Amino acid sequence: MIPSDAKVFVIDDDQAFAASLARLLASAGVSVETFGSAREFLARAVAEGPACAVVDLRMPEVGGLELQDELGRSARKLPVIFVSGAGEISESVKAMRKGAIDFLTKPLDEAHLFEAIERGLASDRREREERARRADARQRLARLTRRETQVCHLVAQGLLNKQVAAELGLSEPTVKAHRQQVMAKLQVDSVAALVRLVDLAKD
Amino acid sequence: MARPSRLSGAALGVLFLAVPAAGASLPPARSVLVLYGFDPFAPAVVAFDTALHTTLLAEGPPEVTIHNEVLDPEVVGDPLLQPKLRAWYVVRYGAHPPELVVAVGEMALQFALEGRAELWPEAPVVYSGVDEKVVDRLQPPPDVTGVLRRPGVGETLELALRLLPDTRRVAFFAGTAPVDRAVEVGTRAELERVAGALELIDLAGLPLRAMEDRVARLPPETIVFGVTLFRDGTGRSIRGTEAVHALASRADAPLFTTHAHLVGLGVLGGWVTDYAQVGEQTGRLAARVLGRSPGAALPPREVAPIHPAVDARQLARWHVPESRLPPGTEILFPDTSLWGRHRRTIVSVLAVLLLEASLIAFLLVERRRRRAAEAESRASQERIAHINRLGTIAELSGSLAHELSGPLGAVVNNARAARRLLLQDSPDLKEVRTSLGDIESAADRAGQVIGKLRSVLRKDEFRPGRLDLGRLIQDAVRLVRSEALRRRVTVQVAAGENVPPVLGDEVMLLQVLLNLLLNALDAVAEQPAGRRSVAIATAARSGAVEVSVGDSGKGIPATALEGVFEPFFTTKPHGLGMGLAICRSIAETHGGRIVAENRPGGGAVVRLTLPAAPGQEAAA
Repeated sequence: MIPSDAKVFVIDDDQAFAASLARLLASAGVSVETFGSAREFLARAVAEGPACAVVDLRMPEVGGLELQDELGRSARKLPVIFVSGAGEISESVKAMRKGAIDFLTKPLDEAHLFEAIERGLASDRREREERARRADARQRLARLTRRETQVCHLVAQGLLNKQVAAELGLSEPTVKAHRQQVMAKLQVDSVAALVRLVDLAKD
Repeated sequence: MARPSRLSGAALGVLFLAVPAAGASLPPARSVLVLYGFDPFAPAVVAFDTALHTTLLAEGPPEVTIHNEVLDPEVVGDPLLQPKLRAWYVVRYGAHPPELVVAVGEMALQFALEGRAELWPEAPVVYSGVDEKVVDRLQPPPDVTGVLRRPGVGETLELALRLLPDTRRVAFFAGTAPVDRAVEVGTRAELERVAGALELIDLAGLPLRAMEDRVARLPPETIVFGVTLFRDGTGRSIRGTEAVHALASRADAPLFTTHAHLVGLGVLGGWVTDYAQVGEQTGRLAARVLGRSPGAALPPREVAPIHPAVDARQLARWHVPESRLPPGTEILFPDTSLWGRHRRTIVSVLAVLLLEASLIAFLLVERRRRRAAEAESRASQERIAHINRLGTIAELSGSLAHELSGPLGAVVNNARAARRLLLQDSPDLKEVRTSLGDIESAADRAGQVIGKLRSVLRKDEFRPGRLDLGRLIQDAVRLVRSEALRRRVTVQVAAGENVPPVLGDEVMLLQVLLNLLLNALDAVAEQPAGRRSVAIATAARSGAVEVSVGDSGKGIPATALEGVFEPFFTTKPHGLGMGLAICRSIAETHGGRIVAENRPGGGAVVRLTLPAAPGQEAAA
């Protein structure tokens, strides 16, 4: 089932096809936005909720694969579903290696299309959630003082209080106090949870 | 045995004596006595005698009577018998002496002259068939005239050598009768004079059988010649034409003689005496003698005519061309068939006809071969063009699939959308209508692509029509669009202003445009991605339209510029080299031309110039 807050972007220089695809998705209750070129999409596309892009492989100027590269470099890693007039195998392999959700040929198989869109949106939702958790973790880490941050990272690396104290030139009780402060600020109750949070914030 | 014979002869004489006596009671007639010194049954003598009689009766006095006497040489030459013969003539003609004596032959003339005082003292003598030499020797008195024989021996031999220039031998035959001997003397003199250089095969005086055997085994390049043969070496009298028949039938060489009546019996020819003619001439002379005024002098002596005559059949047998005949030659027994008479004409006409027929046949065959070659060339050209189109389509297959799958995808999407919309509780019918409209236009688009594809694939004849090249360029660019996208080549189209339509075959010109565009795509393949561009433009030229296809490639090497439109010219590893050759062929079919050049800024440009469709100048 496609969530109501989800959005599908259709990028195809064949405007008739783009319009028909938008109409099909809309008739299924999916929110759709169409773009006639990759540049237009990159300039204007905005998605609040989960989203994915259905991209024509061949387009003038910026083609589908280039758009995929472009999206991969950006912060917003939108899932891409490729559609192509002809099944170009080498290009499809390239696209899939770069993480494309699927590679479909026109005319599209409806079930396949929706299944791919669902996967794309799910992937994006996961991506969005992870991104949200990461943001939360970073936010919490940002609350730590410089010393607390140092202690946090060393603890996350698995060092004991004594080792941390030696590393930072502090007394063991001081380290212990910092550590309790860190756990409280980060709202974690175990070293394991602290390690996950720090890892999450790294990416 | 001899005596009873003499007795019976005398009795016969008495009986003969009685006949003129009975005739004596008739009114006196003017009579002519003709004395023959030859065998009276010889064909020459018969011919002579008939003509003489006929002429004399026709031209002489009306009451003339002609008597013929034949002198037997054995009687005349016998000193005992000749007086008896004269005595008999006295008895015979004493009462009514002939008014004129005609003596035929030397012996007859001699007899007539020697006996005239006794037998016919008043009668003038007209001789015939006597050689001039004989007459001169006899020195006849003034009341003797006649027709001199002209032997024609020299002339005949000359004729023989003219007709058969390769002749090296003469086989000469002659008889043993006194006449034969007399003739032989003069003949040998002539032989020596005319043919002295030739080898003489002397058959004179041989028995006829021996002569036959000899002439049957003659060496090549021999002619057979003779004048008279009244008696052969065995002493046997030769009658009529027996000798000629015998020799001609056996001889392995052409036969020549001087007697007209023998030409036709196996004799090739000669300068001949026609005895009927001589008889007529003699008769005429005799008539003039008879009809002369009393006391007038006799007409002067004449010479019998001779003329060249040949037997056409013998000419053919001995392969003598008629062109060797002297002018005026009488040709006896000519081939009277159409073929024979007009052989030369027929042969020339046939030759001309045959030549014409051959020429016509040759031209027909040539024309058929040329047509076949042209048809074959056209067919192979069409096949190559077709293969080229197939190749173009194959090259464009991805592009075409793209062009078709777009509208087909749109159709499918719209149809499904419409169905979904209709399944809703309160269907948005406006949206459904829009879907259906979009389905229609997308399907039309796909149909157009397929139609274009089919027309390109179809093998067709030249079907010109008015064409807007701008639209055709759009079609072509759309067909290569996807391919260009795949290769990251930008294609720019620039339509010129006031470009008139052209008269052309849409498919052929589309093929040209596709070839040029695909070549241009190939040309820029090695350029970096951002610098691959192809530009196609139209421009109006005076009375023509120019389509230029330029590319940003490396250009064409100067050495190759001339050859790019030649068949099998290719720079591509798997190219056939037919693309531009076909383009040129199509351009020429349209009365246009196509050139390739390098652009100053780099890259190549191919310019196709086509004449504008007629009747458009005013509108444009």
